[in-house]
Parts: sequence; structure tokens; C-alpha cells
Amino acid sequence: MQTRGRGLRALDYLWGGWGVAASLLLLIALWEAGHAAYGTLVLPSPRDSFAALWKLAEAGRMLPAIWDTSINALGGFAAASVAGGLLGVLAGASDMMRRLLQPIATLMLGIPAIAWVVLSLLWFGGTGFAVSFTVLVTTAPIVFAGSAQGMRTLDGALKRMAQSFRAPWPVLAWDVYLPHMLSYLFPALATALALSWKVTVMAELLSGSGGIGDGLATARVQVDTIKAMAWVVTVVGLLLIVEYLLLEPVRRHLQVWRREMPGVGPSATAGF
Amino acid sequence: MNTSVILAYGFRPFFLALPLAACAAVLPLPVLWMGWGALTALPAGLWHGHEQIFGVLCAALAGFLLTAMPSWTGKAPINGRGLAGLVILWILGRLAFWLDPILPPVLVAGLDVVFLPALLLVVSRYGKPWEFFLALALLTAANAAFHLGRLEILSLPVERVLYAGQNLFLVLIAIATGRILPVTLRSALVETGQSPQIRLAPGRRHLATATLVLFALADWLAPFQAVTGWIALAAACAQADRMVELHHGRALLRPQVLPFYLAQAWMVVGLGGLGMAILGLDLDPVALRHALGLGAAALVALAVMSIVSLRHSGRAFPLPGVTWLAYGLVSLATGLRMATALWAPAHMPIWGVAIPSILWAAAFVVWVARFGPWLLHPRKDGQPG
Repeated sequence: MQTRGRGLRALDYLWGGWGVAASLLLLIALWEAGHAAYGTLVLPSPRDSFAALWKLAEAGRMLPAIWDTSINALGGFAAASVAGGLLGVLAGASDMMRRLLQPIATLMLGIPAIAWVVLSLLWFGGTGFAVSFTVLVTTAPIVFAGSAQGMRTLDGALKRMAQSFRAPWPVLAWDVYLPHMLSYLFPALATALALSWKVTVMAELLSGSGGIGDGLATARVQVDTIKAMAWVVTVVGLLLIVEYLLLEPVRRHLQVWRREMPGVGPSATAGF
Repeated sequence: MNTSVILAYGFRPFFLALPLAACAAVLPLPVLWMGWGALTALPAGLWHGHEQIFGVLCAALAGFLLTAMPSWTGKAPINGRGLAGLVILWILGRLAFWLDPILPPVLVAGLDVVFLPALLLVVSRYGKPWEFFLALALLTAANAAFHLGRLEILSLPVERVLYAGQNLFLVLIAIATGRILPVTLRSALVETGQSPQIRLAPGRRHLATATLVLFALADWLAPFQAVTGWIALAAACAQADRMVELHHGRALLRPQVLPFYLAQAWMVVGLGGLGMAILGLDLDPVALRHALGLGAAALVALAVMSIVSLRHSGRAFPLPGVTWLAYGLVSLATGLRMATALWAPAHMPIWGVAIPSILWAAAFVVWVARFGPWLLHPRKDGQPG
């Protein structure tokens, strides 16, 4: 069986961006039709929105907002990954810890993100920390669930075999525990990361602590639909970049078994 | 000349006659652009567009369908008198257009509209694949609409009908290549020492076809509207996405594969450019239409004609080297036609029209010089057809 080199696989993957572009452009066509039907006040045209986006970038407002939002989102996400991941490992390894932590995680998942925004604003004021805290408490239970499930379903026979060969613990952790854990943990982390951007923008909108959400709040006050759409496009662009240039390549790297089945060329495996 | 051989299978007479129509379809253009008067009663652009789409490309389509459909369905091919009747109807349409300045438009219309319904009737015997049947029915309607518009019976801009016809051919190319490529790609993989086991993901093919259908619809219902521009861009991206099907190392560079790849690339250029032109960029839409017709459609037509003539004359791959010359001449003609119109419009008469017309005609002369003898003689393996 011929296997494609890493460089060619990367090229095939990037080539798949055309398919994504086709899908998004069809959505823009639908947006344009909505604009033609309902007018600028309800739905500004895509071209006006992109022009407004360009103006915001030229005025130097775009990059600082993206930076603020990214710091808030990634800070909360990192804390949630560490806290949720470690607690999940504990819950997966110990039945007592699972009985203790699982109901709390279920309860926290049940609290709406908007309620956390209000609470964190009351506790920490309109700061970036309040935004990151909201991200932490809304996404940590998702990571916890994935981590706990991964830990609980470890193959005991495989573990015993590794131990009987006296595999050192770093090898045990890296080659036995981690690959299995990642198959559960990675989807949870990907969901948490995507959610963290949305929660960040929502919290920023209410807290006025800068970032893309703050820009959206200003556009709302000014009843400037075009600018609002420009900010929406910005956050959607960020999400797409994170999904296709970060999460999906990592997902493919981890899921080795999906790559290059016999008789499958680049057309079946390439792209997003 | 043995007429029973020529009329033994659908591809033979149509592929033999097509190069003549291809040469004739560009003849009035240099004459007009050089300022030597007009050879046609219709505006030369419309005459040329009609002949390229409903004359040349429809002949290629007829030859392909009348050969491929019996193979796909296992039913008997049309040959002998029935095939001769179809060819005569096609020739009558061409004669009518060549004599357009001296014939009344009603007579031209009457002679030209008969061929496609007759072909549709013949093709309907096979029952499937339905998508070819539907596309052919729409092409038939488009040709009828062209003449009704010209005769002012319908208040319809005939340019739009021509564009609709061209868009239908883009859809047909997307569908047909989905059936042809697995075969040609496997042969190219074997020729280059690779494993012929391939599985082309249908999703990409279907997305490419669906976006072309959407573009055809939008271009008909809302021409030059922003929605159509975005859909054109989406269709361009979907065609680019499909190009990955052919990324198989050196197999891509074989003459039975590369023209399809280049045709996809021309579609990307044409649709992408049209989309941007509709959305406000200062680009000549007619030049971009040539990327779709002269570039994509003609390259696929030449490739299909070469492959069908090779296989159905009882020969095995590889294709003769001269096919490269034909592909190269058409590609060069397309590049010159587009580049001159977009970046050097002052040089259009020579570099944008006369030289591309000569290159285009030369491509078909080269093709018929090499493949003509195969079409005129019985199959090499002694089989019927």
C-alpha cells in the first residue's frame, strides 16, 4: 500500500479548504438573498458588512478586540482544561470521587451560561477576569465528563500487559493511558474551546470589558446593523480559524486509523 | 469511403463532422473584428455562441451519448439509417446557420430546431441515466427559446439563452466526468506503475455538480444580481475542491487525465471571475465566459472524443501523443482570448480573436488528422461498432 507523505497530506488537507469556501459562499448567497428581501436595517448586505469590517481593521479597532477576546477565551479554556481534566481523571480512577464530583458537574452543566455571566459580573465586576471565570465554569464540566469517561474505560488487560513487561510509568502514561484518554478527551476539549469563544463574546457584551462583545454592544446601542454584522463575521472567522487550522488537524493527527485506507486516494481523505 | 463503417456507431459520424463545424464557428469573428464587414445576419457574437454551443458542443454530446448510453444500459446502439437521419438533421442545422445571411430566420429556425428533439427521442429509449436526459431536454428547450427570441415571438434576450445553454454544458461536464474519470484515472495509474485501486469520494463530485446547477438556475432567474455572484464564487470553489480527485502523482500528467484537470481549472477561473465581475470588479464577463466554453467545455470535448475514439475503435491506452498538441492549442487559444480581452483590449482583433481562432481551428484539424482514419475504418479488434 502506498502512503502519502506528510507534506502531501498537508497539501490535500489545505486543498479541502475550497470545499469549506464553497459551503460558506453559498451561505453568503443566502445572506445576500435575505438582504435583498428584508433591507439593510434587518440584514445588511455581505459586501457592506465586509467593507465595515475592513474599516474597523483600518481604524485599528479590530486587532485589539480580537486579542482581548482571545486572551479571555483561551485563559478560561486553559483553566477549565486543567481543572476539568484533573478532576475527571480523579473521578475516573476512584469510584468515590466519581460519586462525589459527578452530581456537581451535572448541576454546573445545568446552569445557563447567561446566569454565570450575571454572577461573575456581580462577584468580579466588568473585568476580563469575570469573562474568563465564566468560560471556566461553563466549559470545565464538559472537559470533566470527557476525561472521566476516558479514564474509566481504560483497557485493564492492556494495562496489566504493560505492567507485566515492567513498562516504566512515563511509557505507560504516554503510550497506553494517553492515546486512549485522548479519544474521549479531545472531542470534549474541542467542544469546550468552541463554546469558550461564544461565552466570551456574550460575557464581554454584558460586561463592557472590551473585546468583540464590547464592539457588538456599541453597535447595538448605535443601532448600526452593518457594524454588528461586521463583528459577527469577525467572531465567526475566529471560530473557523480555530476549527480548521487547529482542532481538525490535531483530530486527524490523533485519529491515525482514519488515514489512507487501502484503495482510498486523496479525494476521500483530503480536506476538512 | 465505407458508409457502413461510419454509421456503425454514434461517435463515428459526429466526431468526424464536428471539426468542420468547429472551424466554421469561428470563421466570421476575425472577418468582423478586422473591419471587413459582417458574414452573418445575426450579430456575430450571437451567431458564434449559438454555433459553438448548439452546433459543436451538441455534436460532441450526441457522439458521446449515442456511444456511452448503449454501453451503460446494455441496449443496442443506434446505427445505419437511424444514425444517418440524426447526422443529416444536425448538418441541416449547421447549413442553415452557415447560410444565415441569405435564408429567412424562420427557415433557419425550422432547420435548426429539429436535431435536438430527435436526439432526445433516440436517447429516451435508454431510459437512464435520467440526468443526461433531463439536461438534453433543457438544451432542446434552450435552442427553441433562442429561435423564438430571435424571431421576437418570445420577449427573451437571446444572450441569456446562450449563457443558459453554456451553463447546462458545465453541468453536463460535471456529470459526465464523474462517469469517465474513474476509468481514465485507473488506466493512468496503471500506466504510471501505481495501484489502480481508487475510490473517488462522491461528496465532492455531487457538491461540484449541485453548485453548478444552482449557478445555472441563479444565472437564469437573477442574472447579474449579487446572489448569483456569490453562487458563482461558490461553484468555482466547489470545482477547485473536486480537483483533488486527480492528485495522484504522475498519473495526473497522462493525456487521459490532465485535460479534465485543466478543464476544472478553467471552470474555477471562469466562474470565479464571473462571480467577481457580478459583485463589482471591473472584469469582462464575455472573456470569462470563454474560460468556460473555449477552456473547460472544449477541452473536455476533445478529451472525451479522443478517449471514446480510442476505446471504441478497439484500441488500448495510451492515447496518441498528438492529443497533447490539440489540448495545448485550445488552452493557448483560451489564454490568449481571455488575457487580451482583460488586459490588452486594444489588441483584440489580432491577439484576442484572429490568432485564437486560428489556434482553435488548428486544434481540431490536428485532431481529425490523427483520429479521422480510426473513425473511417472498422474496429482494430474486429468487433462490431
